[in-house]
Amino acid sequence: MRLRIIVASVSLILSSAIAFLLAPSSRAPWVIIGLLCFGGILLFDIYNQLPRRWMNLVIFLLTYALILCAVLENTAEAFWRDFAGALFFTSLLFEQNSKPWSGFGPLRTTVTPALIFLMLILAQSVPSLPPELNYGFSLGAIIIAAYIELFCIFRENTAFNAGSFMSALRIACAGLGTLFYSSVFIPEIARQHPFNLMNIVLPAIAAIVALFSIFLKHWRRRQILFYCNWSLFIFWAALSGETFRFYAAIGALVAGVWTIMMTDHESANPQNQRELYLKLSTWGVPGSFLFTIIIFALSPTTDDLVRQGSALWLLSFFIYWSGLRSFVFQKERTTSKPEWDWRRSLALVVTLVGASLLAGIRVLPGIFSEIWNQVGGVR
Amino acid sequence: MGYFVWIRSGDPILWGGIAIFLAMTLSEVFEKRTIEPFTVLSALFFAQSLLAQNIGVVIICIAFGDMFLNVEIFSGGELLEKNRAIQNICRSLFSLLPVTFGVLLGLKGHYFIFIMSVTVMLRLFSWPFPHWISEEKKDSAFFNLLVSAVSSFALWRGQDFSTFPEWAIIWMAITALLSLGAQYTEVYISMSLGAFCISPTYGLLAAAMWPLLVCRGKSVYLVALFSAIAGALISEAASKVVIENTVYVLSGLSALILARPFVSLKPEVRTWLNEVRDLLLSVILFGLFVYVLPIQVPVIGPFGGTFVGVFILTYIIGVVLYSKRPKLFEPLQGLRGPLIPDLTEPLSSLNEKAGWQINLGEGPLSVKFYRALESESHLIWLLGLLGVALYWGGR
Repeated sequence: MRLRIIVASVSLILSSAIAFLLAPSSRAPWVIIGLLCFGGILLFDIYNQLPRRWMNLVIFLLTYALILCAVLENTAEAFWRDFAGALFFTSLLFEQNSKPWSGFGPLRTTVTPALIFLMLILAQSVPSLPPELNYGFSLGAIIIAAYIELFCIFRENTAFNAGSFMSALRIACAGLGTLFYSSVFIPEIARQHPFNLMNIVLPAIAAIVALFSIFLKHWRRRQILFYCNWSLFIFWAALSGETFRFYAAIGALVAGVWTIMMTDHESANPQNQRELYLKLSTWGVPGSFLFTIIIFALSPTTDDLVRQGSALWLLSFFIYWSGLRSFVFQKERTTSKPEWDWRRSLALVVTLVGASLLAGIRVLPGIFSEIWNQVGGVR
Repeated sequence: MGYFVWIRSGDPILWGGIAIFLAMTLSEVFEKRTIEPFTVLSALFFAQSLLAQNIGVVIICIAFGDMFLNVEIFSGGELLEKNRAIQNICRSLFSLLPVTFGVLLGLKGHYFIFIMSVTVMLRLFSWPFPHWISEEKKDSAFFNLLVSAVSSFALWRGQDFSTFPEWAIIWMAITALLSLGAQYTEVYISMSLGAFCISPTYGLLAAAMWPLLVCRGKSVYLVALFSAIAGALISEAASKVVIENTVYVLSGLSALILARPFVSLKPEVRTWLNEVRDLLLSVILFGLFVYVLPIQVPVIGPFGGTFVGVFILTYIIGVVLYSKRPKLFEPLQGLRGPLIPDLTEPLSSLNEKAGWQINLGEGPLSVKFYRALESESHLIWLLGLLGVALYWGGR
């Protein structure tokens, strides 16, 4: 196991270093963001899911390589092709690591959305397509990428995918791809009517998915949908066209990937408060890293559509939080828990630091500037 | 905090709110002789919400204050209380939802005041939705005041009601309606906010009595008196914005309903020293505000007189009636929504049924295909397929 972790870490760092050296200066930050996301998956893998099989590591590294290629490409076509490859690998990882399931319905495998994604990408290469249709295909592909896990939500034992490295990998790929697309290749029509309505349509989709999640019995399935919505949230924040919101989207990507990996898989233990805090943090409740990011991304704006979109996002987050209304601790514990190790301590520190960022960036600067003005006034 | 109070010494609404908050905290500390660390942290966030200038920051501070209060409830309680502490997170966020919507949508004027009123109603009143803190056993009075009074004041004080004077009487009518299921403390806090709509000075003077609500000794009868005075002031002010006859009807009806919770109040038995201490805190605050703030001595006319008259009459009749028909004066029960069934099954034995069966051409070939997807040994074929697809796409 240790050998596999060392090989994966070294490969990850080496491929990042090569990409960083080859990348033009404008693309170097994307390599760093990629390293933060994929490195985080490896670092916070508290259950050692990833190095359990060699095949997992190989596909993980291939996915990373494809994502690095995607952010270094010069044309949109090449970018989409690499992005599709990365998503396909991710969907294969879902199938590799899922528990057995019955039915064999094509709508219940993650490979189906990955293939639909690929078809939408290939459709863009049809000659003389109007730009509106082309962008429509891109939007469809991005929404499919965000909701890959929705396709397998009804099969048995999907709940075990919540907090898995596959989920984190899916967010990393979809998030990085959509962020890069919105920053580099997005066409001008995206900000014009009718595509500017996406500022409302995307959160409306998220709200519908959140409402749908109410009918799912187990909280872990709801969490899968929460993180599907989180992918769309990242794209929405990047799409709004405001610089601070774009940075919030980058924060949302990193925070989302890390938080998934920090999720404890077992039922909550009222005696272990650190563990409970980490578990609650994965829902973005106040005092968590995700909450900080939500506040940053939903900052008030003058754009009416973005405002209405923000309100819809708040509604969809609240629908998930409302699940806490019926929270009850289990009296008898039947599962054995792994020991509290350095990875969990690191996760706790990261979540606490992330939570205090809100005070550090949003609340304290106002206070400090006031002190500064007062001191200046006295002088 | 002291520094911020000092630099804002020119703004009495800011430091006045903090002074009232400190007096309430002092009353609690003197009474209990101990204060828990998370309560201190929570109190700090609520204090910061009183000082914050931006409504967004006020909401964030309140959310954090609520959170730490829930941590305090969680850390000291039994399993049932721990459950409730987690459930409270949802309820506290629900209460902040309306005002956050208002901020995000950039609402202004009446619309924003209305949506903020909804938040204050949810945080302040235990009817029609039961208040989450009132269910707690531990330190409930102080916790309740932190959540209801302090956070409501922090949200309320940022509004300029001088351009919307009608909100005083609207708020009083809302208070009267919600008082059917509320405690007298909630009614008084709400009436103080109503007085704030007429003038921030009156609001602060009314809020100076809040320390009496922490321990609830015999001095709470003063609170009833101040409620009547606040109602009279609101009725007088309403005569300038609403048709006279309507004011008479609204004042009379409101007084009739608002006196009801005070009939059933049962002061706690405390030593005279403790009673004097709370009273002293309130009197000092009141005196300080009278000394510092420019106060116009209010004149109670026929509208205010109507309110006070009906209020006192209802109270006296109520006290007589209370021993015979106590149910008339007890708060109504709050609404309780259906609970989502408990998910108590252990994770290792979920034993779930198969999902929806989708019969889209299921046959031996598709079975083989999906088995192939799940088989590690067949992965190489899939990778090859992907390579071909990518190659074709790349062309």
